[in-house]
Amino acid sequence: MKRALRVMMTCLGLLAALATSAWTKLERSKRPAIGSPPSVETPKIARRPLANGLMVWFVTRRELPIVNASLLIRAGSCQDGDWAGLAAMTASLLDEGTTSRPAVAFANAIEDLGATLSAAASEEQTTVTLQTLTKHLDAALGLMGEMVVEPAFATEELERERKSRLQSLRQQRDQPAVVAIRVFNQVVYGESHPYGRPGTGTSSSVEGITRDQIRDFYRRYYRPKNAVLIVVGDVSEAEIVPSLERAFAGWVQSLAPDDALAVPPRPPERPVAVHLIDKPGAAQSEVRIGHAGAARTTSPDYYALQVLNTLLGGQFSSRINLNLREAKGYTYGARSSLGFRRGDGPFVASAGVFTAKTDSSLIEFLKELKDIRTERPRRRPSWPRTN
Amino acid sequence: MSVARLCWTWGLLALAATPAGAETLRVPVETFTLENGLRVSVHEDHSAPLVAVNVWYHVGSGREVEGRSGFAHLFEHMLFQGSAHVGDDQHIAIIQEAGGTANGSTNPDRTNYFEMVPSNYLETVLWLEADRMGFLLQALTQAKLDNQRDVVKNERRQNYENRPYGMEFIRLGELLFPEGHPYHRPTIGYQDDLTAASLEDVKAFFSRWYVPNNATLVVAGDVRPGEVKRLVAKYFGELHPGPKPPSLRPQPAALTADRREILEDQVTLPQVSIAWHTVPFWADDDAACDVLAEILAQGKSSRLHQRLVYREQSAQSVSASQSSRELAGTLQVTAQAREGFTLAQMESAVLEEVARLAKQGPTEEELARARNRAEARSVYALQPLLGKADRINRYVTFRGKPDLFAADLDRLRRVTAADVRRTAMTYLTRPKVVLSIVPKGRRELAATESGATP
Repeated sequence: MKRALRVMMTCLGLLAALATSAWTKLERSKRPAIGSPPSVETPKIARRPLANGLMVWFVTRRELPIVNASLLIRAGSCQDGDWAGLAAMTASLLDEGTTSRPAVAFANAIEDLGATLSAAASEEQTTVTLQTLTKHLDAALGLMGEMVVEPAFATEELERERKSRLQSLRQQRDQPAVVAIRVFNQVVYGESHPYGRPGTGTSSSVEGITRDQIRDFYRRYYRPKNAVLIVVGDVSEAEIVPSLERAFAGWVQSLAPDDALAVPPRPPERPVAVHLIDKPGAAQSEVRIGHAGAARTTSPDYYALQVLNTLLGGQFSSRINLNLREAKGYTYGARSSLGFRRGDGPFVASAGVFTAKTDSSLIEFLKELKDIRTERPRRRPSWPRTN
Repeated sequence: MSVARLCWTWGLLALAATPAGAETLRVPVETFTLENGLRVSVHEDHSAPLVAVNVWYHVGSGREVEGRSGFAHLFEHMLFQGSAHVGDDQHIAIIQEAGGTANGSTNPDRTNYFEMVPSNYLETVLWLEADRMGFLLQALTQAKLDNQRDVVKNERRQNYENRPYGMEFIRLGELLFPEGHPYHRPTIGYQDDLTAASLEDVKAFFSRWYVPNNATLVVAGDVRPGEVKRLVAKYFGELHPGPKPPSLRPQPAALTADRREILEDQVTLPQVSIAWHTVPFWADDDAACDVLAEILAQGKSSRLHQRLVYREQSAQSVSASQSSRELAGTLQVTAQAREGFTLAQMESAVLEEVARLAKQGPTEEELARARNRAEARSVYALQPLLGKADRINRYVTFRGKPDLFAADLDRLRRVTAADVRRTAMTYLTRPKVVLSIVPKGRRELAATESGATP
């Protein structure tokens, strides 16, 4: 009996040893250890002003023969005043002809280089972006300077641009997501608030904007001291400065206008309300839920809010998406975001949801928005699988 | 200055570089194949402490069976739902906890999966990818399939049904390719077929196509090839190969006559798409078709943009592309007419410019511009690590070699004016598809039979 037991125990021992060796071969249910974090070398940033006062920031990256340059001008749709769309139209006319060459010739000159050069306005800034191969850098910067320093704002180009914008505005009505965010901004901030006005303008404002208004906007805000240029790529500060001085030589020095930095006020709180826009036959409902959030520069909660939003709806594995998409299947994706600006930019939770599940989706959204303010713990990770 | 693994030898600086310019584009790749058939490519790029992992399975919607359209893509979704040793919803959660990104995509020819993470998470990502390549089925449930079926149906609603002109892409495939051709049905699938997909289908599809010998793996970034080899062998080495996947041959399709169709949609402006059959990826005339599309309607300097948007101001937008896939290719021009103009006018302008190119060919200036843009695009494309990794897998899967970056650019550089003229004459004079999408009740705006203004 004793012997039999001993034999059995030996056998068990052997089995255990076999099992162990199989596991040590590769234990897949054990998540691999993570090595120590790699050291990160942050790029060296240099800066110096050009002769005209334009501040330039430089980062040299030699991996690829490419240079990227971004000119940021401190003015956007917040400076539109009564003429919604003014900043946007001014920006988009920059590359539609200069005093040296008409629109078509300018477009050809850029594309001849294989470079990309464009301008666009957002709420609080206008950005001119250039990407070029290093070998065409001088020529490409010349074109960038030309469009910033001497845009023609020719009447015929303005009228062409106006026509195009009016058509685009009409086309926005075809796009439920665009309609939704436009109405959202209007409801949250009010039509006269800089964040409530549509940056693309309205039919009547775009109809009415004159060449003089565009030129005035340009003269007022497009100044070297109201802008900053960032250059990143296969070039050193010393190599590029002569090209930059040439490209921006004609841009005159002046003081920055005060109102470019004005902070839009926080809108009054509004009662919770559901706003419906009917689109008969739509396959989905576009949902936008939110309110004014926090300011980038003045809020002490900036980092806490970033973490909060990451839990709530900032990425795929956030609560809102795991609920509305991965648990309920109401949507292809649901998210939330905080638009950090000088003033209190929008907090918005959003999704396109199956029409028949519109009400159920609202319930789940509101539940998540409520739960994030309570003690509900983060879901316990379910790996490794226990079966 | 960090180590640059890409070498660019400077040669001619003139704008109009000779077709075989002295510049070469090099992306060094080390390759090896496991015994189970998994082909692996490693590219070192130490410019940032990141690693990109990219897996291609050589199966897309083209290999679906009748009545199961959309299946390859629905299946792609199932690969993010956990596997034997990875919990539900954990794949992306683990990657995002590391600060990384993960996604996948399906097209008619292939399905890809990719992650980018800090380089110390390389082993974690290989563990995740190997687990779903080898041990997916144990974690499959009907509930997960039902959930992702709903998600995919919403993807279809969001990207096609609820989007202006959203059905254009689906309808063009159906009109260009005959029933039964792998490119006839849309990758996103039909709602009824999605409803019909069963757990058994998922299992069969996995066993048939998701095997190491039908997959290629790229690891690119801040890694050492020796370490990658060791880890890949550790996690993928013991996975079993499947039956040898059948090799594919080009399946050209042809139209015997023009096919015209009008769709009504909730849109403000009418849009016409004109499409012709051309050639598959990397076929002899593929690059010339690229240049042809570019000169026709890519960018503000293109012929149709300058004519319709700048001069005549009759179009809101116009664009063109040569879409060359593994089995066949098509060239498409799309234009939106402004109020007061018709799609017949758009079509006439497109056909006139095609005829002009077929007769006279492009100018030297246009050709030089196309070359410079191609060159610039191939260099810009090397900036995102994930993009580079995906390109390597594209070359491995379709051309059998990983480092074809320079050869790819060279085939564009070699295109001559005569090539562009000949391709316009050969392919764009064939029967075509003309698909008009018009605002509801405005069929008079469509492109009509004669192509003339009604």
